[in-house]
Parts: sequence; C-alpha cells; structure tokens
Amino acid sequence: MFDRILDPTGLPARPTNVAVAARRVPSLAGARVGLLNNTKRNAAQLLTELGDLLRDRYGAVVTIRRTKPHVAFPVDEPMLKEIAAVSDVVITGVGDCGSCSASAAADGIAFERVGIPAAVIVSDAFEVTARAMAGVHGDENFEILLTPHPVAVLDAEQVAERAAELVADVADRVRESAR
Amino acid sequence: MRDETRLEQIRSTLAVDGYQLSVEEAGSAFDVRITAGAGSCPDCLVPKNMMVSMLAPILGVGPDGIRLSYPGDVAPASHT
Repeated sequence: MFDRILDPTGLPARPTNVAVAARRVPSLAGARVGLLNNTKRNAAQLLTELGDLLRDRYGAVVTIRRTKPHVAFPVDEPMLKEIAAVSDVVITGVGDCGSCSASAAADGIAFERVGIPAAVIVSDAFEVTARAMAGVHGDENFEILLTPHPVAVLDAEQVAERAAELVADVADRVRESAR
Repeated sequence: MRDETRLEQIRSTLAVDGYQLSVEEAGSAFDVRITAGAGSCPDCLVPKNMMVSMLAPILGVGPDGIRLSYPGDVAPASHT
C-alpha cells in the first residue's frame, strides 16, 4: 500500500521561484475560461457549475476542460500550455486531500507564471497544506479560494450550491476590476 | 519553541485523510511519526521533504532537526 510516496511539488531540489501574479482580465465578458479537473470526486461537476455560472452571470465562455492524469501531481507542461493557449483565466480544483490540495496550489501558481490568472479551489480542511505548497513555490501569499470540507460527499444539488457560493470569489480572483 | 496551535492544525489535516501524527522531543531534535489508520488515502500524503518543510517552523527547528517516519518505513529516518 505504501510502496511509494508521491511527490506533487513538481520542483527541483532547490526551487528558486519567486511570486509572480498574472495580469487580471479587465472583464469576464467574453473571457475564455479553462477548467482543470484534478479527478477528485465532484471536482468535475463543481467546475462545470462554475463555468456555467461565469457564463450566465458574467458573459464568460468555457473554452477547454481538461483532467489531470493524477490527482497528486501538478499539471504537466503540455497540458498547461494547451490550456493556457485557449484560456484567459483558469479554474482548478478541488483540493480535497493533502497531496491534491498541494498540487492544486502548485497548478494555480504555474498558470499565474505563464500569464493566466488562476482561481484555485481547496476545501478548508486542507488550507494548511495548500498554503505550505504555495510557500514551497515561493508564493506564500498566493490566494486560495476555500470551500467547506468535504466536497466529495456532496450530492449534485449541494455541489451546485457550493458553486453558487464560490462564483463571485472566483470572478473577483481573476478579474482586474475587483482587485 | 513549538507552536502547538499550528501543530494541531497539521494533525487535524492529516486526520482527515486517515493519518495520525505523533511528535516526540529527542534532545534538540524531534522524532515525528505519521501512521496510517483504517481507510487512509494512500495517495493523499504529501512527500517527506514537504512535510518536513511544513513542520520545521512549527517545531522551531531546522529541517535537520526532524526525523520523520511515514507509513511503511522500517524505522524513523531523515527526510533526505
């Protein structure tokens, strides 16, 4: 069972990263939204609901949906580039365990570093882990959007409610006018 | 000086994934053991180097002052 411990940092032994925040979009009207699902239960639905809400309330459009091959590892460079090429903003999550909250934070920072504002959703039980990973990546003040733990056990209606609770924060996280 | 509040936060976070954390002071260092409970999530534990980086400021020592063992380890070992 424990024949391996996964390393979700995606970092060399001595990271030299510094905090880099992407320029926020002026408005979400017409903004292209990328959704990165980390495979955790209910992550896909939560992201879909958020995409729909960003469309309905702000006029954004979801242009790409991708799923990470492994929950514990940060997005790989080909997938990051693929998403970044067709997205103005990215939403990723859900950090609903130790390693996946850490890798979700790493994903958000990676998108910011290639110029894409990112909203990272983590359940509040794993805030400590996500923030620790952000610190490892040189961005200890990286903003993480929290939702009550757990997410995995929610039914469809409850996931939709969570999305409705989060959408304004997601919008504020990625657009210029709210910062 | 160890920060008991933050240590408890780490302990609570691990417990959500089914792990238990014990910390024993050993001179100027700490023996930290993480054990797996029933139903623990095998892919949910962060790597040792990251766990040490999280624990070091909480325990008030450098990374070298923490001997960390994970489930499946034969004996407490350095994180390196």
